[in-house]
Amino acid sequence: MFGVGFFLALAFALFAVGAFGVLTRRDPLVMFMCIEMMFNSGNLALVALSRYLGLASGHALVFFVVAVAAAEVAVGLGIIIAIFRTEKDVNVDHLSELKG
Amino acid sequence: MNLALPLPEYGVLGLALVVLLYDLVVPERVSRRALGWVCALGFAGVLALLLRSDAPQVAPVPTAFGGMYVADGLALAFKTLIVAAAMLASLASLDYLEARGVRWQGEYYLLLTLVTFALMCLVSAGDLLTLYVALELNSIGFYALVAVLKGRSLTSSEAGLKYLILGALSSALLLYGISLLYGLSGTVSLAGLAAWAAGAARSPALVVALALVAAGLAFKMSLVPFHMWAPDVYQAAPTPVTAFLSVAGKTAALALLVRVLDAALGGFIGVWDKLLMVLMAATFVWANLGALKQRDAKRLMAYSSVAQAGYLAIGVAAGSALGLQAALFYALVYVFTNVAAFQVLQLVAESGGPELSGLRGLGRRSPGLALILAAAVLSLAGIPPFGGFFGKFYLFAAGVREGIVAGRSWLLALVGLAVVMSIVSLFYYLILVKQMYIEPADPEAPGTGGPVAVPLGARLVLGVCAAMILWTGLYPSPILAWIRQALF
Repeated sequence: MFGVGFFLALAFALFAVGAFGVLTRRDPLVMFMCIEMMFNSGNLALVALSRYLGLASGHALVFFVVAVAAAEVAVGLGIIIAIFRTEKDVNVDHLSELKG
Repeated sequence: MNLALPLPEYGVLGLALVVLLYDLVVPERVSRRALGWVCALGFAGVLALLLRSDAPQVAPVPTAFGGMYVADGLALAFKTLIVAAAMLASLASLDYLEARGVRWQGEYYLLLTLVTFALMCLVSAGDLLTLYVALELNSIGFYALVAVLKGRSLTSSEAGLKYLILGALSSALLLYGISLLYGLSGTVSLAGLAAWAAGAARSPALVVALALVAAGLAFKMSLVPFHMWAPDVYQAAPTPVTAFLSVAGKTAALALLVRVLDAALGGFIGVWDKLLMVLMAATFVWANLGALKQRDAKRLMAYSSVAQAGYLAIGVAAGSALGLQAALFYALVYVFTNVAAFQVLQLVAESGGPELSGLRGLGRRSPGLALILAAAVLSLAGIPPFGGFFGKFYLFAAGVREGIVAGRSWLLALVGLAVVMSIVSLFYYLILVKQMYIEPADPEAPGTGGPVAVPLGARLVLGVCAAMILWTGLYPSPILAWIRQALF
């Protein structure tokens, strides 16, 4: 009952929710979570398509994407901590030293 | 499988290990400044290796790791530019970091070498997997490099966070696009995609996939409207990082556009060229008009770099061999002119501050620096006899030729717009020149007294760049011959 179409629709829904969240939320931590959701929508589509096509290449790509996303968040949290140490506030709307 | 093929990459990876070990064994209290020289020498060695190796001249290009790594002439030429930029960036970083009391210079140079390694893998990618991983490795390295002044400058961290969020968002778009392409084609190899694109039918899903992939790549190239990060990041990042990001990051993105759009998805040129041309038209107008009102010198150069990315993309939109050669030549000129401009701005900012007014009276204080900055910005504007003139001329000629031969009237209109906006760009480039030579220096302002101090590393950078700006303008034929040989 769960065909490839179901998983692709779910992936699209996840992608849309994630994109909406990144564009509307102002807390960098929540924005990261939304971006992770978008990454995982890509992963889900890749895995579903890989199984549907009977190929292993999509599965392999997903492993790398998971590792890369973890590294991205590690650097992101590092930068957030660096900002928090001096500012005590990480709302992206309040970070407005740079404009023009 | 030929494991010896990625020899230049092994060289850069070896350099990264040397940096790591040096940082480990040298006592804590000793400054890591010497690592700048180690990196510059290491990159010079790899550059010599790249310049000595010949591009393959027969059809099946050598590959390694089951076709995931391609060592063709395109990769070789772009790697040469990237390693040259890395060498100049290491030299420019020497005194910049020392002056700011950055203790984590070991990490800085390690990130610089690893980003260079990632960019080299990126231009050699033969597979969407290599492409994605290399793209992310260089992006993550750049996020950290932009924010490397943590605790010294809040804007550096702010720029790092903005860059990271927007960069991760663009990667997610690219990944979703890749997953759609994979579903349609059933392959992740670029050669496989090219074979599929030659005969595949067009569908709405294909248009969405191409739009997502183009958006992801346009972000790395900083084409409008995916350029929002560029002004903030360029302004707040350490100046050597800005210079490296603007030249190496952009040339690698150009190579990627060529590989993915022209080579792998060339069969769909009728679909993606519309998307790309809309982005480019927006880039020409927005970046050139946006630069006019800037007061911060690095921010002005950021808008200028966005506009330059638009010119480079003309070669990709043309999709012809001539367009590719022109884009590569312009990228070469752009690397050296932009590094020269940022190097002068970096030196001036140490005494006169980041504002444009800090340049006042530079023509009298440091005539040499003023002359190099004037030559660099006039080259970027496309004024003869500098390299930028020939670069733009070749690009526009390639666009017009392709427009006429293939009957693509939109391309002709786009080149026309590029010419007009290039005249507009002359205005803001001349603002820089006016500040240096005409505006009277304010005697009360700090650092306007004597000549600007130019340390040895900066001297080397400026010497190399000035020589290349003149060489590409006055006698470009050996360089053009090298490019033709690389892209046979």
